[in-house]
Amino acid sequence: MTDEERTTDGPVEDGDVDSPADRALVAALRAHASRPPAPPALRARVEAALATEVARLRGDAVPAARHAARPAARWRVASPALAAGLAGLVVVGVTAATLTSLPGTSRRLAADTVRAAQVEYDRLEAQGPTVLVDDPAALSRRLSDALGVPVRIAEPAGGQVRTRGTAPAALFGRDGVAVFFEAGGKTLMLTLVPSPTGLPPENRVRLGRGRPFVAAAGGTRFVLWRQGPLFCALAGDLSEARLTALFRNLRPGIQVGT
Amino acid sequence: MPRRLGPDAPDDAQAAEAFAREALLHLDALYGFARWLARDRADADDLVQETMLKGLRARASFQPGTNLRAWLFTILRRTFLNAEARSGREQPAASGPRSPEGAPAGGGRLPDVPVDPEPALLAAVSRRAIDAALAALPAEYREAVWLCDVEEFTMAEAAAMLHCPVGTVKSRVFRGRAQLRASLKDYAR
Repeated sequence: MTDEERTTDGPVEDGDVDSPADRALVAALRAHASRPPAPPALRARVEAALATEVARLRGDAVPAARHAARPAARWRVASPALAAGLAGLVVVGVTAATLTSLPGTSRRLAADTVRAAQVEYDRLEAQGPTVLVDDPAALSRRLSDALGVPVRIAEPAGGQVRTRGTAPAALFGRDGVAVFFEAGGKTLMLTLVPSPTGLPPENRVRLGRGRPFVAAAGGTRFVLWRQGPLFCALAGDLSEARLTALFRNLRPGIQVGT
Repeated sequence: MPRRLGPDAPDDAQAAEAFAREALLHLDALYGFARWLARDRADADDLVQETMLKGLRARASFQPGTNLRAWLFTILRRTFLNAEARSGREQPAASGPRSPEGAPAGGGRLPDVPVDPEPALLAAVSRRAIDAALAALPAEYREAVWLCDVEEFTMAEAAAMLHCPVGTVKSRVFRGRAQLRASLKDYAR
């Protein structure tokens, strides 16, 4: 406690360190309490993360220009309930349904979902990962903690995709987590949120049994699917062929418990 | 290390780099606190890294000339509480004892009468005993004692970090010390 605080707060009755016993206790705490220094690996990790953030600021004209160059969103933002209704019905598969293949109502709902995913993708891409993760066990623990169900993601063999980190994410008003990958110098992002349940029947739209949903918005392409209790959105500024190839590569390594 | 900026770098990037450099000076202190808050070393690592990045991104809200260390500690604690809430775990005030070195934790009882051991006894206690006694404290006492007695924040600063009145911090420190003295007296026997 400082003299300044004593002056400000007046005589201290509790928590004073004037007694010899308190002085001895505080001295013992300062001398012996465990205060391990940050491990060198952590220091290096933090320094790298900060350097990345500074570099991002230094080069922020690049993403800003790219975002500005994107066409204006063609789709209006729907109510979360409608978007959630769609999200709850996207199912897993190996071939893709596309936006243009859908009937009118379904197309609008799909567009709303993709639009929501795009907004979140843009936010997260500008922000970057908040935690750098390169250990599969740490990644699994982080995802499971954030999502409330066991989740494991194994990097595909061949080194095409490398895990970079995670950040808190949200879609349809539900908190989840985004996993950042690097794939051939490009950012690939997998956003996972608890999938909506208990939707009214009128909001249910079938997008194709056994198929993920592939769409593009503002230069970003998305593969959307539902896996167990989660809604999953894989996104990147990649060609559709490249993204779906990465999806096929990554998807078998994603395991979700209940 | 943050890379040096070129002459054409935006001011914001230069300010961010300067901020990062200063924030890194407090990395050890943040890690020490994180090790008492987090469940394990990996969580503490994540917590510290997230704190540093959040601090960097929110640097505009930091007032130069004020206490950066206290500001970062506040972010760290809030980040920890948010993560705990997201994961559905208990808040620290009700959580079980933690210790950075895995020291045995006691029951967290509060003695009816504060014990006043000889200062010489306290000077002789080991790190293990100190850690065990700290780990046995209820989390809210431990936080207050750690911030005020170990990290040497003023009670006013600790109160701002803990979002409670100064009087509450004083009370927690008082009770925490009383319990520590009781625990350490047991160890000294």
